[in-house]
This record gives sequence, structure tokens and C-alpha cells, in this order.
Amino acid sequence: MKTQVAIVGGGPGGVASAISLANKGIQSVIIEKDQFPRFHIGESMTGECGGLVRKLGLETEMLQRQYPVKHGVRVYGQSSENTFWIPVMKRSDEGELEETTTWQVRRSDFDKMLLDKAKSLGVPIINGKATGVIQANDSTVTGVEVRLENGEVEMIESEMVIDASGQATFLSNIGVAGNKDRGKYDRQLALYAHVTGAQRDEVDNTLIFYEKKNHWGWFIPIDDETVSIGIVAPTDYYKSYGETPEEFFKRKLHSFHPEITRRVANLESIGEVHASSNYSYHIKEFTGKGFICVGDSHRFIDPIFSFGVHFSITEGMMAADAIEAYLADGQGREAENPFAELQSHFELGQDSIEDLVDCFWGNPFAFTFFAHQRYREDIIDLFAGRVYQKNPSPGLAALRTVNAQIAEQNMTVSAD
Amino acid sequence: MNTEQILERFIVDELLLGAGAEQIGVDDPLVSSRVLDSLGLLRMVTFIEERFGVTIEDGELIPDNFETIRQITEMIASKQPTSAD
Ligand SMILES: Cc1cc2nc3c(=O)[nH]c(=O)nc-3n(C[C@H](O)[C@H](O)[C@H](O)COP(=O)(O)OP(=O)(O)OC[C@H]3O[C@@H](n4cnc5c(N)ncnc54)[C@H](O)[C@@H]3O)c2cc1C
Repeated sequence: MKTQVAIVGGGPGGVASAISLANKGIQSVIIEKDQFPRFHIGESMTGECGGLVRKLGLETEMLQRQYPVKHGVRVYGQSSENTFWIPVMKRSDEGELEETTTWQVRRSDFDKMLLDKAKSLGVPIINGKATGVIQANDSTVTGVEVRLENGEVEMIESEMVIDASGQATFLSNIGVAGNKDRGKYDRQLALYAHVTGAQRDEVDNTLIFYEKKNHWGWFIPIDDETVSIGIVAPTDYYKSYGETPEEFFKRKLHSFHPEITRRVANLESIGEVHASSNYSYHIKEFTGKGFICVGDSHRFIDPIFSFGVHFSITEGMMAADAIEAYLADGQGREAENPFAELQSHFELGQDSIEDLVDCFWGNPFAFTFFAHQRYREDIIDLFAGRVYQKNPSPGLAALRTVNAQIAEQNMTVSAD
Repeated sequence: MNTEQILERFIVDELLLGAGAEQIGVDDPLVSSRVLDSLGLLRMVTFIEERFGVTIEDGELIPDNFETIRQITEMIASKQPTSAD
């Protein structure tokens, strides 16, 4: 089989790539190993992500599904009074902040809707697992080897490959993209479940609960009845209890934070408890001759501020733009890496969010002061996902100042 | 009132809302003893900036800098122009 772009993975990153390519008249194929609908975590969207979903032509479908609308995120500190609120806001054409909304979704349903959209635009979905790539003599990637459900192997020849395989990090695993470095938040464990009967606020929003450094939780309504609740703690801390994931999760649910406790007093059901660990990593070389990795397939920082789906969709769309230019005039084909610029652009956005997360954990006091007061608008911009400015905003610069200071202190401590 | 007294009054009246404590010594721990939680700290910074017309720099927003009334007073003094006498 031949196509212009072979996409590995049918999650948000893969589908956003496929839809954007289709809109440009570029042919693609999605290779997906799982049957949809399938469970997935990552349920709260940033403001810009909501905007991109609209841009992908999905607003009507989103409204039909009646996903809980998100107006912002409320972060609770150690007590109920100690809280701050980051509204979802967009920038008008004049650059003014305006209120807007985004969504919280059930991923099994949302991802299937996305995949169906790609299908409706004529993108073939191949049910199978990508197991390797085809490479030219100069190591340019020219296709994907796929093991189909029936065990047969199919070679898909293409001009470009997009890796959107999520945490499976397909191209890095087979040595085409670079090595996977552990991320800063790698030693964390997240346990989560869908519950019913939780007490919800008058207006549904994403709630984050801070217990202490590296101990936190989320509360994300995903439909009329269901709320996703997650509890995150250092893996060693979890192990020290010797409990099963269910035991740990259920015990913590009632003791973790007063703002969760009161909301779960009368639960009707707790669904299967899922676990994710070792989810934080960074692959520094993730584009090259014939390939681009998007979203989780090259980097995942930390789930606390809900950026995963945002990055996957944004990067998928940006990859489509870059591929359009590349296919049209063959520009940069001789370069060692035709997508070097795109790669640093992706890193610019992800670095900003790493700075945001680092400051939150490293100096919650400074962070809260910035978010509340001093750089409120800049922090709102970061939370919304406006993270690709070449010159950092004063708020981002302040986060960096504080982070540098923390790093320096840590150095002195370890030198002592 | 001098700076130390102003800070003490602010903590007792505004942050502790008359919650028992009537007096706080200049060297009593504020943050590590949780007299000041992070929300209290935020209000304190705003208060200091408005009341004394100084700016607490981004890099100075470290809880340790607010551990005692004496420390806070010294930080404020270091920011105020010294009057020629
Ligand atoms: C605990 C936790 C909480 C999170 N919370 C949020 C949140 O609130 N908001 C948010 O935006 N993000 C959140 N995330 C992140 C979010 O889950 C991901 O960032 C997002 O799903 C990434 O999308 P993707 O398209 O890159 O990959 P995925 O959605 O993972 O899709 C990858 C697809 O590729 C397929 N695949 C993999 N390997 C192959 C192969 N070899 N061949 C064929 N198919 C393959 C998989 O089956 C999968 O369907 C969270 C993550 C964690 C760990």
C-alpha cells in the first residue's frame, strides 16, 4: 500500500494530523492497534485545545455529546480557603482577554468521535500494530511495517511518517528517534477511576487538590453522572503502604483532602481503578528525514495542568503544516533534518509548561502569588496553552527566575 | 507605630482574625509554625507593598524570607531609601 503520510496511532495527535492533512488535500493512513472505543486517560482540555477542536470542524459533534463545559480550573491548597482560580480565557483579535469555555470529555467516546471524523474525510484506518519502518539508504524513513490483526504483515510506503503512538513512543523504541530520558516527574504513580454519585459544584470545572509536594489529585466531571477522580503520589510512598491500587485509592479518597472527602461522601459506584506510572520522559531528537513525532510520542511532562491532549492536537496540526510545505517544494530535503525548526518550536511550547509545573512544585508560594496577582494574565495565557511566543512574557520570565533560584539552592544543598 | 508593630498588628488583626493570639514576638516563627499559611503570605506581600511602598521582587518570594517579623522588617528597611541624618 502507498500513501503520502503514514500515521502511527489513532489518538488525538494522530487524528488531528490526519484531519489537517485531509483539509490540505494530502492523503494519509492511520495505523491503530486497538479497537475503538477504548479507555484512555486525559479528560480535561485547555482553552486553546477547545478552540482547536472547533477548528478541526467538531463543534457540532461536541455540543451534541453534551460534554461538561469547563470554565476554568480551581486549585485547592492545603485547606479549603486556600485556593486559586484560573479561568479559561482567549485573546481577542485586539489582544484582550475574553472569557471562553472548553470541555471535559470521556476519552473512549471522544477519541472514537475523532477517529470517525477522520474516516468520514476518507482517511483509511488500518487495524494493526506498527512494528518497524522502511528506510532508504540514507536512513530517510519511507514507510511503516504493520502487523495486521490477522497476523499478516503489510508494508505501507509513504513520503512521511508521523509518530502519534502516545506513551508507546514507537519511533524512539525502534531507534529511529532519539533516546528516552526520564522526566522530572517520573517517580510518580497516578491511580484513577470513574465514579458516580459524587457531589458536584453548581458549575462543573476541573478541580485540582494539592496535599503536599508531589501529592495531588483531580476531580473532572466527564458526563452527567460520571466524574473522573485521580490521586497522584510518589511511587515509593504508595509502595510503603503495601496496598493494592484499589485499597490505596479508596482509602485516600476519604482522607486525602477535605475538598475531595466532602464530594465523595455518598458515592454510588467506583469503576475500575487504573494506574499510570513512569509517564514523564523527554526524547530530544524526534524529527528527522521522513519523520515527525507528535504529542506523547516524544515528551510528557506531568499531568497536573492538563496539557497532554492540547500538545498532541496542536503538534499534529503544526506537523501537517510543515509537511504541506515540505511536500510542495521539497524544501530542506537536503538538510540533515528538514524539520529542525519544527522540533525547536514544539520544544518551546513544552518547555514553557515544564517551567510552569516546576515553579508550582518548587515554590508554590511564589507560584500562587504570580497566578493570583502579579502576573495573572500571563499565567492565564500559559494555562490556556498560549505557549509558543518567542519572547517570554514577564510572567514566564518570573517563573524561570524562581526555578533558577530553586535549582541553585538544590545544588548548594547537594554540595553540602 | 514602627514597622515591627505595624506587621504584628496586621498579622494579629487581619490574618489571625483575633484567633486567640494577641501578641507575636519579633522572632517568633511564622511560616514553619503555620501562623502564616500560603494564603496569609500572599496577603502579607500585598500589604507590605501597599503600606510601605516597596516592591518584593519575584526572586524574594520565598517563604523563608517571611519567617519572622524581624526578617520581614529588615527586608523592608533594605528597600526603603535611607533618610539622610
Ligand atoms: C495520569 C494522567 C492524567 C492525564 N490527564 C490529562 C488531562 O486531564 N488532560 C489532558 O489533556 N491530558 C491528560 N493526560 C495526558 C493525555 O493522556 C495524553 O497526553 C494524550 O492522550 C496524548 O495523546 P496522543 O494522541 O499523543 O496519544 P494517545 O492518546 O495515547 O494515542 C496513541 C494511540 O496510538 C496507539 N498505538 C500505540 N502504539 C502503536 C503501534 N505500534 N501501532 C499502532 N498503534 C499504536 C495506541 O493504541 C493509542 O490509541 C494525562 C496523562 C496521565 C498519565
